[in-house]
Amino acid sequence: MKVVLAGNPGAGKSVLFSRLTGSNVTSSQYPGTSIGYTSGLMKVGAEKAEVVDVPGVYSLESGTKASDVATRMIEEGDVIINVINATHLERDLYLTLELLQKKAPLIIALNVWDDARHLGIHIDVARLSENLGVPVIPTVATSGEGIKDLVESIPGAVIPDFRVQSREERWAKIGEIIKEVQNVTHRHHTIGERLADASVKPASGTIIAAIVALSTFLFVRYAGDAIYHYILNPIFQFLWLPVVSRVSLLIGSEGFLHDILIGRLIDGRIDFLESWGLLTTALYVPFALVLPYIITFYFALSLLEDTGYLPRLAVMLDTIMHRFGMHGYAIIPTIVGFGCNVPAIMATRVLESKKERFIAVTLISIAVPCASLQALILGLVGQHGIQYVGIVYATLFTVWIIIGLILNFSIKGFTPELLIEIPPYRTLPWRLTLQKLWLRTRGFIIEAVPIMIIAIPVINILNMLGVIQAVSNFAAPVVSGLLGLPGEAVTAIFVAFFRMDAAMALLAPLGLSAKQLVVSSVFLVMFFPCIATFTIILRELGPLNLVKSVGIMILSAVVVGGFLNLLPI
Amino acid sequence: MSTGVNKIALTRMKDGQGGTVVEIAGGFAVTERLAAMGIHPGKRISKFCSMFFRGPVTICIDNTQVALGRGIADKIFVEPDVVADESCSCR
Repeated sequence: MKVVLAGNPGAGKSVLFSRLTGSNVTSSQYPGTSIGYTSGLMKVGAEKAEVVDVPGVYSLESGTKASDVATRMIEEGDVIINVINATHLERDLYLTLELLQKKAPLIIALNVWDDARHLGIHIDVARLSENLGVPVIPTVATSGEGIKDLVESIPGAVIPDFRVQSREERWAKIGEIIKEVQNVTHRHHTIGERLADASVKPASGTIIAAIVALSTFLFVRYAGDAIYHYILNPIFQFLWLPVVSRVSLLIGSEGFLHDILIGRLIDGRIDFLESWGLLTTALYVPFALVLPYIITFYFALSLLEDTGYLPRLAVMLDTIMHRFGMHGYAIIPTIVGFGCNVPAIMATRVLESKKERFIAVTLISIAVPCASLQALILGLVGQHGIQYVGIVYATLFTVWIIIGLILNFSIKGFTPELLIEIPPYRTLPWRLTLQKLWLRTRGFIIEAVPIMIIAIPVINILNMLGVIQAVSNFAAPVVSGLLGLPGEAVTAIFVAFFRMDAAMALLAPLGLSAKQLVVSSVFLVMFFPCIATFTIILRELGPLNLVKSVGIMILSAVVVGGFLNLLPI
Repeated sequence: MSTGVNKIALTRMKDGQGGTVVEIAGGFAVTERLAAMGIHPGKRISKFCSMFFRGPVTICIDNTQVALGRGIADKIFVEPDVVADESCSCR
């Protein structure tokens, strides 16, 4: 049996899905989180059923790609669960009336039931059910209320007998139903609601946006720094260093095995950043340098997502984003990109036009460094002073603006208008927020760390074989002539294809000047996407656009890198 | 039901003013997108605010705020309320 969850964006399908299947999906308090689709298993009585989470749509007939996909998925279901947000029953019923004609058993989950009660919205569930001819179960997916009743009603679901054809007829019918089943008692605005309103109004909203952006940056920077200084670095220095020092002595302080496991000794001692061994650098970079910022960034992102702030930022920035050929919503994937470019590029699917998506994807991979890369930029460039980190970010921001303007001007196509629902603020569902933080952190550990651990000995061996030296000599004229970097930096550019953070770490032993570090950081961010990002761009934009996008990246990286090299930094 | 005599574009309404949608002066695609979000002739809405520099207009509809780009907001015609009515205010 196949159960499909269908509903408007933001009705809580993803949370309900994770309740039903007990599986882990990330959901966020803004529409369009479930892109593509997720499926899982649940138990209905003794039988196992497949549950499919359909992307949220307002209507099946809107002619967009999303609604066609949703229609196809819904038609494959044996039972449809229509998830309705009880705080805007009237709007959500439009999709319900469309679903009622699908000739499949239908059940309605009247979700967000708790908020509706608090808002003074009273819905007569029995009469709603009678009107539609299908079971209606009030649920609160975030707390689990009503889920058991919902599951128990699945076997008894029947095919509804409902005939309403045209749009006008539908709206008329919805009007009648609302009049009969819904009663709203008026209430005064609370302080929280006044604050919520202030974040949408132009003047106060701009100030709030600035405060949110600044405090997010400061939090990620300083909380990450604190985790590094007070927890992870001490663990490596005081607990792990004695262990690897003993190993180093045991295997004789030199030789092939020593070079692979421990790496080179710097002044007779192990240096976690520069020794470049499997037990030293390969563990230190991901676990001590990068992990703190992964945790703090994703924590901050989860707060912004789960409270419902991000769509407000999209409204604030809409006018500016239009200058770059995108509407305000494109800011959300861009922010996600500061964590990892891969989910960010997937999130651009919510943008409607091809032009808009191409610009958003290209700008993310050119000018938005992921959290791992940023951790290394902060660590390496920051050693010379925070002003150099400032130069890196200012350059990337300028590049983002200039390339955005150029792309908007030169690409044909249209930029659709913004049309989004602003969800209410929510108190954080702590359990879900922390679960999401854990999933993202675990994603980093199981997907990124192994590549790092493999890449480091491989680079080490290539180095011993003299391969890297040969490549360096070959590319040196360009790299040193144009960018003012030593030939060895070529390795970093090559490694960046696999892991950006490993590439930055490769620069550590080269003794680069502050200016050289600024140039190489900017160049690495812009030049080429890492393999994961490369693959996802290919999948999302197709080969032709991938070539175009990468071409823009290479060209602009060379131009900007060369330009920075000429500046007296 | 309104007669549509005093209709004005959504962008020209005052902040906080309520009214009834009387016409969507756009093609099929726009009408359909708006209808799916509950914005259709006969619907009561109120204007919440609009962003600087011809930015998006935010309206209140059924306890929800919806932000619309200026180009779309220009196509929505509303007959404003003569008397202030609290029934369509946000949340």
